[in-house]
Formats: sequence, structure tokens, C-alpha cells
Amino acid sequence: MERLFILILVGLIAVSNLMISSSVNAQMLGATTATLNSTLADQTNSNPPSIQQLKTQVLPKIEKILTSEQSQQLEATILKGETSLRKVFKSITLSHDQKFKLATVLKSLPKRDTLAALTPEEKKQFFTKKKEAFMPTAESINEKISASMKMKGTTLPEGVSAKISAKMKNAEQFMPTPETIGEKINAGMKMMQDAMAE
Amino acid sequence: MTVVSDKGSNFSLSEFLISDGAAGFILSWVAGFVDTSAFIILFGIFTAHVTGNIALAGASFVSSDEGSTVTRLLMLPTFMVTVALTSLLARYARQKQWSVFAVLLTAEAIALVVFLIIGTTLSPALLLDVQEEYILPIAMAGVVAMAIQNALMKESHGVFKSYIPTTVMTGNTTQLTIDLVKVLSFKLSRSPSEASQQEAAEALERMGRFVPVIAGFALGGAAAAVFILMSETWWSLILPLMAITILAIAAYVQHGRSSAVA
Repeated sequence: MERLFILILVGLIAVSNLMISSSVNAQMLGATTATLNSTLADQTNSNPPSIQQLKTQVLPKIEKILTSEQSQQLEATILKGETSLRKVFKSITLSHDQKFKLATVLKSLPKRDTLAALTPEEKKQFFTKKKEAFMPTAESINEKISASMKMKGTTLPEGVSAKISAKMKNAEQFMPTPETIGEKINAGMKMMQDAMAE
Repeated sequence: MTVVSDKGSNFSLSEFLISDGAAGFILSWVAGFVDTSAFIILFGIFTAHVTGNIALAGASFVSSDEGSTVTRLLMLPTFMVTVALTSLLARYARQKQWSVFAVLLTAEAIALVVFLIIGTTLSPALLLDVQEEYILPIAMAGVVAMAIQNALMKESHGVFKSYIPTTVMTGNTTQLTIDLVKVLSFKLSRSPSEASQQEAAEALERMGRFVPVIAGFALGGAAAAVFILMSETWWSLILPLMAITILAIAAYVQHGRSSAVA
């Protein structure tokens, strides 16, 4: 009888190991989550939503819940290199109400670990508001041009790379920051309000 | 201790593993690991030290967190129902003349497998302490495993010299401190009586059984903290599962041997 028990025990452990390994990528059984919108819902059964889609559809909902200070703090923590979203959310000292609202947003994601499963780089892209996260760098532009020129059997003329880098640097100088955009909007709104009042 | 090795006989690993010191150390290491890792990942919930959840429920109630209060309070009936079922299983095993210790260790191993599956599946989505839909099932699975271990210590008559809890260390630390005082009093006494000598000898013997249990729990907790610091995933639960499985196999082997001798 003891041998039978040992056999059952070993068998159960082997079966459970197989179940665990397959469950890592499997969908949660019986999960009933409302989808954010039809776009995200459609992707549940196909490909996971891209960072850009998540950023445009989920991030605004998160930002609506957080105060501007908390949003900035969250962005700063992510940019510092913190990869654990638990620690990131803990660092911004959320109220109970905010936690419940955030939990609802997280529940509505197509997969329950959509955010947690992002790579550190994807997390940075998702939470950072700065355009640079999506803007190609001078190096990446040069690389792409070189690759396409190579395919055509030609090479990039000398000095072109330097010109691209210089132009990009100039463009960065004139690129408005979120703060300056915010200030300009506020100033515009104030002017409109003053004009209306008069 | 039921398993007593004859002097001069060959070393038996299974016999050693289910001896008071080794089994106590392994079981308390498992409890320390499970309790600490669950406490960290589940935002403060006890799976081994279940009554601690009463205090946590009180704290949640004061901060008007109904969901958290209910989750913590639900750990108590879960624990009691599991202990009742484990006790029935122990009675059945005893009736069938199986090794109660081995059977209950098997039950704990199965419960740890379930805990591992639920924990690794749901914990990645657990980012906030209000996500009770994830906290509750994971915590219940952990409490079931630890309730079996609690019942196992009481039901496995004859395996251990005396009952030493492996899931809560408060009583053990109290006893260890009292014994330490007894031994030191005897050592420092200028004219020790025969009674105090006897008392000190008993205390020293008890300390030999309590120290591995307390050390095991502390090391288990430390190991869990290190593993979770390295990675927030809960795959590290495979370690307590392996420990209990090895102990269960040792218990079956040892029972088989003693049955063959009888």
C-alpha cells in the first residue's frame, strides 16, 4: 500500500509539473473580464495589443485616476529603471479609492497580466509621456538608410550620417516638453476665459 | 521518537529524515518559507500563522477595507475545515494501519502543488492590495497546505517525542527562553540541588529539539525573502514542495521497513 502511495505521489507531482508549465502561457480559466474596448477585445484571441495601443487606450484611463504629481512620480520611478509594477504602484502612495479604480482598469485588460508581462523597455515606453520614447534616434535612422542602401548595392555617401545627426539635434532643441505644452495650453485657456469675461 | 536506531547499525537516510530534529527542521523550514512568501506576495496575509489574520482583519476593518477584512477572516473557517478533513484522513489511515505521518505528508504535498499552480497562475496579475479576486484563492490554497501541516503535527502520534508546533514560533521561542533560563540558573548556581540538575538536563534535551525547529522557520523565511527579492514570480514554491515530497517518501520507506521487521 505504501508503494502505491509513493507511486501516486510521484505521478501527481509529474502531472502537476506538466500542468504548471502549460499554464504559464494559458489563459485564466473562467476569467470574466470586461474588455476596455472592442479593439483590445478582438486581440484577446489573436495577438496581444501593441504598446502603442495600450498607451493610447489604457494609459489615459490610468492617468485619469492618478493626480498629476503621482503620474510624474510614476514616470520618474519607471525611468529610474524600476521593473516591478507592484513597487512602482507602491511608490506613489495611492488612496483606497484610487486603488479600486486602478484594479478595475487592470481587470478590464484582455489578459490579466498584460501590464506585468511587459518587458522593462516596454514598461518604459508605456508609462513615459515623452515623445522621445517613440521618436527614432539619428543612429536608428542612419542604420535603416544604410540597410536599404546596402540592399540596393550602394553605400551611404560620406557626411550624410553627420548631417542627419546634426538635424536631429536641432529638431530636439525645438521640441516642446510636456511642461511647456501644458503651460501654453493653460495660457491660451486663460486668455480665452479673460476674453469671455470681457 | 518511534524510530530508534540501533547503535552500530548502518546509517539510514530515511530514518534520519523522519527523526525529531531533521523532520522538525524541514517542516518548520517549509512553514517559514510559505508563510513569508505568501505574506510578501499577498500584501500581508498569514498562511501558516493563521490566527495572526484576526489582527490583520481588525486593522483592515479600522481602515474601512471591507474586502480585505472578509478575505482575512475567511482564512479561519478554511483552516478549520481543512484541519477537520485532515483529522478524518488520519483516522482512516490509522484504521487501515497505514503510516499516518506519510499519508498526511502526501496530502500536504498535493496541497502545495495546488498552491503552486494557483499562486504562479494568479500572482503575476496581483499588483494592488485591493485585488481580492486574486488574493483570496491564493491565500486559501496556502492556508489549506499549512492547515494540513498543523494537523499532521498533532495527528502523527509516536513520530515526534512531543508536540512541537512548526508553523508558529511564539510558543517555541517562549519555551526555548524558559529552558535557557533553567540551564543558565543551574550553571551559575553555587550549590545546585539534584532537582535543579534534573530540570536543567531536561531543559537541555528540550532545547535540542526546539532549536532546529526555530532555526528552520527562520531560515525558511529568509530563503523566501531572498527568492522573492530576486524574482517576484512564485516558482520558488517548488522548494517547499520538494522538501515535503522527500519527507513523505522517507516516511513511506521507513514505515515499510518497520512493517517488514514486525
